[in-house]
Amino acid sequence: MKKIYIYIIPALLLIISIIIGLCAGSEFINPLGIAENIINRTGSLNTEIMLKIRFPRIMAAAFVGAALSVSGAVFQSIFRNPLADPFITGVSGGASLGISAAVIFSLGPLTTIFFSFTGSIAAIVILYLLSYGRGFGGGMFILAGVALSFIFSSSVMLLFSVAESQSVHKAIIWMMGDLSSSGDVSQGVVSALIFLIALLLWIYHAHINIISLGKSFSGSAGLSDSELRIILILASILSALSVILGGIIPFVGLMIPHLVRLISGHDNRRLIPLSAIGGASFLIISDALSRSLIFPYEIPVGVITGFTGGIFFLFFVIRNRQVY
Amino acid sequence: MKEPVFLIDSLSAGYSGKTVVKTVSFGVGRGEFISLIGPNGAGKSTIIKAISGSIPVYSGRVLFLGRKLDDYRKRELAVEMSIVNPITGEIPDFSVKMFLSFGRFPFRKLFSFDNAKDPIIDEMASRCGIVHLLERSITELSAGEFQLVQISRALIQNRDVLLLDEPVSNLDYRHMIQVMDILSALNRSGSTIICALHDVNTAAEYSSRIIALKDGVINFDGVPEKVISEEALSGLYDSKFFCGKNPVTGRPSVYPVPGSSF
Repeated sequence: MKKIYIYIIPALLLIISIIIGLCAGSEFINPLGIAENIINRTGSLNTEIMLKIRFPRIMAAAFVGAALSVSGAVFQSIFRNPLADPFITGVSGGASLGISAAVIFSLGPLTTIFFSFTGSIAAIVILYLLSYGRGFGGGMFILAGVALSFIFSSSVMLLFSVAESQSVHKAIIWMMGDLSSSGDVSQGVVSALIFLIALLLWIYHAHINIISLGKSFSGSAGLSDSELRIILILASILSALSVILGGIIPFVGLMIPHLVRLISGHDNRRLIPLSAIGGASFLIISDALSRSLIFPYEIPVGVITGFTGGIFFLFFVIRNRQVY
Repeated sequence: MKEPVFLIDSLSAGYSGKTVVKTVSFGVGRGEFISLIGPNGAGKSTIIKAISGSIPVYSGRVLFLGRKLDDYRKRELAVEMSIVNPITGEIPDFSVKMFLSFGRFPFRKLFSFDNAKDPIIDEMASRCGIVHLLERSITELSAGEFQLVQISRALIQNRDVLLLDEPVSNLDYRHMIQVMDILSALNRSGSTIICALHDVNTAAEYSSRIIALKDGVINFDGVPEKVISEEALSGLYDSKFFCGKNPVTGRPSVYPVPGSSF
């Protein structure tokens, strides 16, 4: 019985978030009226706003949130570090450098996707060589990740400073965490890829469980280095996809897996799907807040997650202060 | 010699370029119970790691069941031998049952979503006396309980060849005896066991052969009754020893003399 509740409650949470996301915004739309309109097939302006504008954006938020949380959960397990997430590892930074380059040089969507993958994989390869190859400690790992992030963000700034102001503005908005450009052609492709890779990582749940006990344990249990590398690369690509779709949205990948673990435990068979649901719900709500808090302005969703995640992070550090 | 499990020929190995074990050679026959002893840093753990494929071999050759160790894929190796290493760092909050199921990892198919179903898991849990711990979390076990759980997981993976790195170093007497008795019973039913041990008495009591290491080379090697002597031990540990016999088992028993390190 208990097992079913573990999935039902988050699923309900996701549905409620979607409803909130559909209704909230510059204008509050009554969900019951809309349901009536859809059933009676009577079109109205509100129905149009909900289905054509808000719904794609909610989908983008859901996929970005799920991608960030799943890759965060996987990084935390693989690097055996509660602070590992797409941002601290520099993986998002690598992706954003790739995308910034593509945006500033006005390259096509496919090239953009390719650049972002390259950036994120480069980041994880550097981090892997610096840490895993040398039997690293947790402190070393975080320092290497922070160093990488700074190098990548400086490179992005360098690109901005020499590029045309038109393209820079677009890139800066996107870097603040922007779901408003959703509805592009590429959203479908990127979302499908996110679904596929998250599913693959879920299939690898037993591998990830074993890696979370350390490299010497996983090796003796029969896990090869190449399997470990495949999982790391999949998680990095997942982070890159989230950056393509939503820009830089901090702390989701760090916070959500921690909260989910409170109900799911450390078993990745549950942790991965529940993190996906949790991350999707959290980002849909954050996005709804960003659209409706300070009317008529829209706050970048990265600001909302930065505030909530930052506060969570402080609590986390205080709670675990004897460890760090 | 019976059918060789390991043939180790001038093995050198170590960490980040520093050689710890220097051109060590020995063979391991099926059914042997070998204890590696020696001072800290002598290379006991390094040998265990090198012959289990956990660290690269610098030079020399390791044949495992007649085949070069490098030719095995990790999964094939895990099916043929199991290893008990100390687990360091952040330990995730898995249940004992879940942890034991990791022993089936090398046998599982990729698209499998049920774990902890194999009957061998319950069989080995009861053999190691940990059935009452199955629902507990591995993070809340005592060192002795966790060691029993680790050994149980190793047995679920493979019972033919077991390598253990200091399995009883931080255990109380009861758990030490419990762990060593399990290994001894396994050995009697045919398992080949190689373990690094700190305590010479434990090694002399349980093993069929002792290999002593000092500064990365073999200092002495043989049956406990023959190789354990006051001179041999004082040469090995640079301290004085007094040797006697355990009145119950008749095995050698040693007493380090306080104030005698040189």
